[in-house]
Amino acid sequence: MKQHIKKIVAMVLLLLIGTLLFQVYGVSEKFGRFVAIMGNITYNLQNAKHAYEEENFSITEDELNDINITKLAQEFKTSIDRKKEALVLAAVAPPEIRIDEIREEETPTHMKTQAVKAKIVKLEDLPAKFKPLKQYLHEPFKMGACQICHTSKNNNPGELIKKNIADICYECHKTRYTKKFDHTPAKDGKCMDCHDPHQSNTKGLLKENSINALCMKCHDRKSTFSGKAKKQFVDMNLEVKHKPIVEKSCLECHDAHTAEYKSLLSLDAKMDLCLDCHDEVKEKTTHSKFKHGGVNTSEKRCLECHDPHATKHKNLLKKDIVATCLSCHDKEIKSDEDGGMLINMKKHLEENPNWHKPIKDAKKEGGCSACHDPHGSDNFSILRKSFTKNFYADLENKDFFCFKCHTEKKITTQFITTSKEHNITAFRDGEVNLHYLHVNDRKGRSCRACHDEHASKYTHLIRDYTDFNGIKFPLRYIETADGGSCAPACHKKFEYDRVNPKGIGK
Amino acid sequence: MKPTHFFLTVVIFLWGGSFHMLQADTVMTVLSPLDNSLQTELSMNVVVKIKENGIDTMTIDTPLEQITLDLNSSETMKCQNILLRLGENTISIRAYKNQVMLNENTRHIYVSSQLYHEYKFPPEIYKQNFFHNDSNEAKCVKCHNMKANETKGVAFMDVKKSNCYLCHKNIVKEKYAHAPAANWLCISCHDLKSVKESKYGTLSPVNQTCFKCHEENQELWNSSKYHHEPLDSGRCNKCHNPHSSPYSMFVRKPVNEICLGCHKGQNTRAMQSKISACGASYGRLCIDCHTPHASNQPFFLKKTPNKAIK
Repeated sequence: MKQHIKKIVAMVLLLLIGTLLFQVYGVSEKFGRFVAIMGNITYNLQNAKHAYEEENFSITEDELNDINITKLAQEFKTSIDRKKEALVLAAVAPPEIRIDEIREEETPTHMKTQAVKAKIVKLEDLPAKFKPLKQYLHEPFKMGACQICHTSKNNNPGELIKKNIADICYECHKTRYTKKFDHTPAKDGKCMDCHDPHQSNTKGLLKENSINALCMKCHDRKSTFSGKAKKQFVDMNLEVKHKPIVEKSCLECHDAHTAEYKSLLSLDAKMDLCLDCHDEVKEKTTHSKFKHGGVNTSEKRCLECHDPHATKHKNLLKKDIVATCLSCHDKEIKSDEDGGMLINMKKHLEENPNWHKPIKDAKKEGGCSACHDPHGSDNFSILRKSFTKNFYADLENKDFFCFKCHTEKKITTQFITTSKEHNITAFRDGEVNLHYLHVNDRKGRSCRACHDEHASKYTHLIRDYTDFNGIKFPLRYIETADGGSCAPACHKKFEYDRVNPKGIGK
Repeated sequence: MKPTHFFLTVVIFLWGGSFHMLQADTVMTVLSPLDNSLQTELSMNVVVKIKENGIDTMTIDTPLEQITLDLNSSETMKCQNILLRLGENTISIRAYKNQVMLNENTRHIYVSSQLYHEYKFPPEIYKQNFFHNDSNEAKCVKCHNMKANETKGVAFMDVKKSNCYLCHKNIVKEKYAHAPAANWLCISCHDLKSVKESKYGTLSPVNQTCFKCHEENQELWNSSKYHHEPLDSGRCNKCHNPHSSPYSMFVRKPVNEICLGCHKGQNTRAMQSKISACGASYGRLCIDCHTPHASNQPFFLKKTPNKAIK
């Protein structure tokens, strides 16, 4: 029995220890999880639908040979490399610094305690060449702490503490210029090209009387400066100047030291920078139904037509108002609107000597932009006002563009009886207004059926050909002293005469 | 005189006579038209080859007119446009020298029309002959440029510059001329490949050619419920003359005549009945109430019946 008791005690102890271990290591929980997982696996193996059933998944040896292992490996490697590169780039890319933040940091303030080590020179004791003192003083100079920059200890400071001036500047002006594009003098450490280290009458310790004057020292067309700046010249002597340059300074658009975009600009110069101020153009270029390819899809965007600094022409256009348009429209261009071809306007104007008045008197009437809005419009052909594309148009209830300048009476008066009304239209047979006859009919014709809105060989801008159903039919217009005749596709040759009526419309 | 001698003299005389006839035959040859030709146009060109100094006057007798042509001695070719009537036409072309008739040629031409029952089915001997093939054109090429010289999509500023104009100018002489015809844009319909026998045939049925320009009509008519037979069979040219016509919309005859030509029963009804809404006898047109192409209303009425009759 004693033996039995010993055995029983040992078994009970073992059981206790076993349960304790079970509890400590969570064996039951792990075992439960294991059972659940195995159960899942067996269930899935039996019941789940697999993409690759075993019978489908059989590759012959030939197929195995066909698989280009090396190529796969290469592709895999390149994809990994690309990811690595992206990581490196992300690490290297500088944190975004806003331009105004930099400017705030630019002027460090000196505490007198900081300048204690430097020998203080009283303003009265400064060398004669600094007198009289100017409006703005560099703070170390104002404090008389010459030794911040200079080595010598007496009143006549000589050598600089470091050979490279820029290094001295950057000691206090800690913001290094880290953006994509740097101004060449700043990059080369030639701070002294623009700034005076002691004093100046201009804010920012500039060497010239104003910011613009300083810039123009190098960037003027007539400048004697022979560096790279000469290539990026600006002729500010021309009569039409961009307002921000005149009223404020070059720094309205450019940064003097460093910038994210080319030409030291804070935004993309082609368009975004301009639209930052020109809200009304932004509205047109982004939201209008029909957009001008010249602005929206061209290479230079706004700068395709405008000069951002100064030109001879109105609205800062690079060329004369018509010539600007013709610099692109000197060839057939595919239209963004309907994919059709726009005519070679330069050739059209050269071939046809009678021009529509806005083109003829471009300076007074506004040239092409009298009718077209170069920035975009909700009307087809970026017209400023609505017109019809159709040959037949019911003109009665519509407010068409032509009538902005031409009197509506031209088409609404049926008979022109008194000589007072004769100036309404010359297209009449006796008293019968032939415009009325053509336009107010059941099938009223559009003005463009007979008139070319740009230029023509004939007087009154009569077309040589009218487009009807894709076929060009000639109008065969002949002008006589008191009338004329037409023989288009629409009717046989009809003659009209203002003095001796031929009886049209009766 | 021995009988044999007499016989020989007769033979010689007859032989000589036949020689004379042979000679006369070469004085004038009619190149066009061929005998027993069939056509639908009411005019045609007569082309005659003449022996130099052979004749001085030529007459052409048609059922409608008699044309006398005085010829220059140097002329070797003569083209003349003549007018025809519907049905059979007998054309006599006679050649004279010093008022003596040397030769006579007769041509039978049939002008058919789909609008008249009696001219709808020409006798079988008449066959359609196409002129514009290489062998025929070779005969004309000495004087005429036989190539179509139009620029696609651009009409002639001066229609006389069209090579087609000179021979075919009569087809647009009527008051209402179809714009492509009046501007001599022939190739736009007379496709170069439509017909094997001719260079300038047209597609048959013609409607595909018409709908190239009049596409909005096609859309409208296709969407309509009821279609008139000529529209469905695609023969627009049954009622319309694609070149020119004295009547508006280029119809071949006054509207009522066209309609009543087929709808014979309506003819007597419309003419006699005084209470007929159609009132064809009161100077109204069939198309005042009916649309000739397609309609969503029964009887091709323009509006619902009650409204149309009011």
